[in-house]
Amino acid sequence: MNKTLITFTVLLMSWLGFAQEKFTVSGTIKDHANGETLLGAAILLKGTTIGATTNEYGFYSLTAPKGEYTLVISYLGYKTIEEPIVLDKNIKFNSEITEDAGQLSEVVITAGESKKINLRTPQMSVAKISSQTIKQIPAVMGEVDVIRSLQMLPGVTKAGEGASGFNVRGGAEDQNLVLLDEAIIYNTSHLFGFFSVFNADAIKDVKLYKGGIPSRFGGRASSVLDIRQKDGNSKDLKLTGGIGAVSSRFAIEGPTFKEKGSFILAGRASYANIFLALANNSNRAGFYDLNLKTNYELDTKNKLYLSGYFGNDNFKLSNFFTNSYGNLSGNLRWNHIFNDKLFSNLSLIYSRYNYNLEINAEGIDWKSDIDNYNLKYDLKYYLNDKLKVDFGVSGIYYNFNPGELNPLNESSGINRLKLDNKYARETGIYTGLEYKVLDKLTLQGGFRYSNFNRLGKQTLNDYANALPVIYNSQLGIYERAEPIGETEYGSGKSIASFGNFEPRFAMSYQLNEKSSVKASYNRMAQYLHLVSNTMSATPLDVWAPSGKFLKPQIADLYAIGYFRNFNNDTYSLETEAYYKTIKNRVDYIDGADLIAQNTIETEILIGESRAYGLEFLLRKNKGKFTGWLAYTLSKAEQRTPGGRAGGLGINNGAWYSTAYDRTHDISFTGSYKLNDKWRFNTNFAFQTGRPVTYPNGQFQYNELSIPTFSKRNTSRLPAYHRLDLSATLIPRKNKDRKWQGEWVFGIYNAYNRKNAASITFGQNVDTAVNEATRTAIFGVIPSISYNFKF
Amino acid sequence: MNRTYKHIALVLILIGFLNSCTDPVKVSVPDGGSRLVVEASINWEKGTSGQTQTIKLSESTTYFDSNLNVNVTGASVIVTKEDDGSQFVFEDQNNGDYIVNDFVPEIDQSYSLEIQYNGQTYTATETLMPVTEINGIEQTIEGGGEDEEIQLKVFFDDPAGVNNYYLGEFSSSVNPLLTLGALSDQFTDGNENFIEYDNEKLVAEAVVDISIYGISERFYNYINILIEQSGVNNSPFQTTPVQLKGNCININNPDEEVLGYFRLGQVVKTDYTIN
Repeated sequence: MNKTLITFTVLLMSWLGFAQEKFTVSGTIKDHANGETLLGAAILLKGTTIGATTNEYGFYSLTAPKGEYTLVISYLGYKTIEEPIVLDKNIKFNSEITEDAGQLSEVVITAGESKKINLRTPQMSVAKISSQTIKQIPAVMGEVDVIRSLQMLPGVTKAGEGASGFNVRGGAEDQNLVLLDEAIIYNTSHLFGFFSVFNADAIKDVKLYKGGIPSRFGGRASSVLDIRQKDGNSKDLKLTGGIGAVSSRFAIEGPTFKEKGSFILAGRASYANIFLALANNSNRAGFYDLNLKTNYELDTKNKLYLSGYFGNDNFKLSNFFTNSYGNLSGNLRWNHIFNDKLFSNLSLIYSRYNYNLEINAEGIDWKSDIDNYNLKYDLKYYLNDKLKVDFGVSGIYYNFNPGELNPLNESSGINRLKLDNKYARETGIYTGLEYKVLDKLTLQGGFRYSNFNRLGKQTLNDYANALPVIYNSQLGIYERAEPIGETEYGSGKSIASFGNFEPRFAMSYQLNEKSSVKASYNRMAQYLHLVSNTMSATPLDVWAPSGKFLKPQIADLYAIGYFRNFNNDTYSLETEAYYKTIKNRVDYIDGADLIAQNTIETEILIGESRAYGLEFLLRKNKGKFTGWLAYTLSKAEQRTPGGRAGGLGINNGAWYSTAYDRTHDISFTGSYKLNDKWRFNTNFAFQTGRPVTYPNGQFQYNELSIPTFSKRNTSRLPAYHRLDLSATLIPRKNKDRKWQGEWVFGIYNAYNRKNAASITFGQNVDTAVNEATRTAIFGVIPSISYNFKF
Repeated sequence: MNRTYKHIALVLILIGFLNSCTDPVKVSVPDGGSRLVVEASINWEKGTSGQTQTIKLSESTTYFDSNLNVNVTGASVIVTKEDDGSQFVFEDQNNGDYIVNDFVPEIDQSYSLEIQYNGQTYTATETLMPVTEINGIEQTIEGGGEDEEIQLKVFFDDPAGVNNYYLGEFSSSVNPLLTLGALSDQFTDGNENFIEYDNEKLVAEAVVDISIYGISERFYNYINILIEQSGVNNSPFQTTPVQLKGNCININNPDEEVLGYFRLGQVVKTDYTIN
């Protein structure tokens, strides 16, 4: 064994160090027009299979044997550049490429986005969408929306039109790691889920990892939504904006410090408030958000970035209720290039989510928030043409304030109540390597080791036999246990600690020039849980860290896929199959009381969930007509046995469909460019109805008719379907002038389908007869918006 | 806190559904079969002897059945006071009601119910809960503009240092449906508490009958689910409906689902004329 190891090491070293003399070319690729670094541009040495793609900061590095080459830089929607280089020493090659106007008129939807599948890289299960594409998809009230756009892709759904968050491959809303410039965003919803918090004007790139998640990410079980903000135009001062039915957007960007840096400041605000005020209505509902990013190039090897986000929602229901919530984040980053092969980034991130509620009628003033500080150091080592390694560390410190209840005024009957603050530290160390074994076979392997430490100061209840929930076998119900004592944990003392080894593996095998197969496996550990027993997540839901009673969620995800480009890359087909299991998924005992609950452990049982499915995505990437057709066939279930608490468990311990289970999910998105003036877009979506629980009878109690329910989620709402249309008009007078405007006319839900957000059962208030009532949220909604740029 | 939750749910409905519409629809519902319903609410009105008590037995039906009330007759219904073993036999009135005229109520005393029906024996045990006095009633206007409605707050003093649970029952001539409201003193222990009632149909001169019951923690948990699931909450933010499990058990077949609850409590009653 030892001999083998030594031989292997020697071989590896000789292969790394003493092989044919090799040199490295590295640099940064930018957009010529605005100086924005380009992410995912392809760099290839012509006539070889040696290539690289630019990273999040536009940096690339590739190594090849000594010689003369032609360097080809390509990025869809941009003119391809070919540049001869002589590789007899390590060289730097920075380039700025220009948008191809001619090509742009052909490739409408793909501007700035490489749709052609990269067959070589093992990375799979990624949904990538550019801000241009997002802006073209017809939207509710013309309000461009990142998360709604993602839902048009396979494997991504949403609990309902007015629900927060989104679901990826049968995962829950809390299992998505949402990163805006690396800062964790805890709530992605404006107006309780009608719109998402991301301003498309400030966004450069949106990538959703549904599986095959690289080892540099951790902390959530189902997916990673990695959103990068624009750096800002480093050449000219530019203004962009839009006026829509719901909100208006405005962004300013430009160079600073003599083109050594740039900035972007983008804002968005809704004006429902103005309409409400004009209508003499004392209710208020509104949101705003601000994005800021600036960078400064210290020298060729060092660059600083500062980015921030601030968003808030405000509601006021006459003199009855006031509510506000929002995210705030800030991120300072330092890019350092050690040498041609070693790239590093250090990030210091702060993010905060806060939630406030005042109920005048009850005299309640409610406040809760999460603060977290995150320090990350990521390195990427482009060792040679076959091997790339990335590694890094990260540490997050959390401070949860689950809630503080205060009397709003002197006449309030409320006693002050402070739920215990919760503290935790999450650390991670990872490494990943990508190794091109053969020309056609590339392997990616790595692991992440994560550690979560729940810290004091906190006093926790003790329960008999350590069981916070007990089964009452006589009544057949789960009940809260009475505490038998308390354990006090001092400040900074460890309450519970968890360590998880998270292997990640992926491979790709290129069958031929046009097709490849890929496979991946990854394990993810999630230490935070969103505590919610409503049909869909709401802003009232509280995040709870793992600890003495709550164990981390552990996900294992397997995926295989077949990928093919055909008709000269005009079309591409992606098919994937996945299987996912999640341990320690929490469910709630019947009648659980989660609001202002200091002892969440008495309301929950620990179970598991599983999901599996097939995804198809056919895209047309070129021509006057572009777009895609997506189909997902899937199942998502969970079960919660009684375990140590006794009894069969929730739903008698049987598997039941989760609220986000959708058997069929079909979406179609198309864009047709008629001429330089007109462009037409359409969406069609069809989904199996949401699983719900319908009454299986009624009984008379106190002269009221009370519905009875049995097994969970065995019925379904009617199927959801919808057609949206939009047309974009670019006035001809735009040509040769600085002011560029466009009109977008849209119709959401064109045939006015009354899609049920819920169906409830109750007695008619006038006749007392039992009836079912459907609530439909968005009927047909026409919209008009105007976007501009100068 | 349930009351607060209701408010929040209400607000979510109002805000979340600025654009929404609701309409009645026809849906087919599953049939869980007919089950025995025990409505055994022993109510001792303060200042009365509490000797006359009624227990109702019926059977459940499918949700959209044309006849929702199926009476159960021919059962034997006995309540036993556990400290002295005295038994109260409820007489079958042949209309689903079973009545006794010599009941002896006693606060904090444990009682057990036994029903014999169709060769099966059903039992339940509960404690008779006390209730405090009503201090007063306040009439206010809730909301604004078109959403304005009359609201009543019924005030009472909550005893400090113990967990208390209350059930409010409101009926008025303008509303065919009874309104229930449950309250826990979780956040208001020892203070003057109130249960509120609002209804868009309330108008001046309407008379509202008000009852406030003292209830046990277990029944509070039960009635909370019952209220939540009885169909007032029209939003996707509602909690997943669950099986409503009462405290009556078939000792011959513990898996049989028996609906309803055996509950005993003091009650204070008053009425209020809207002005």
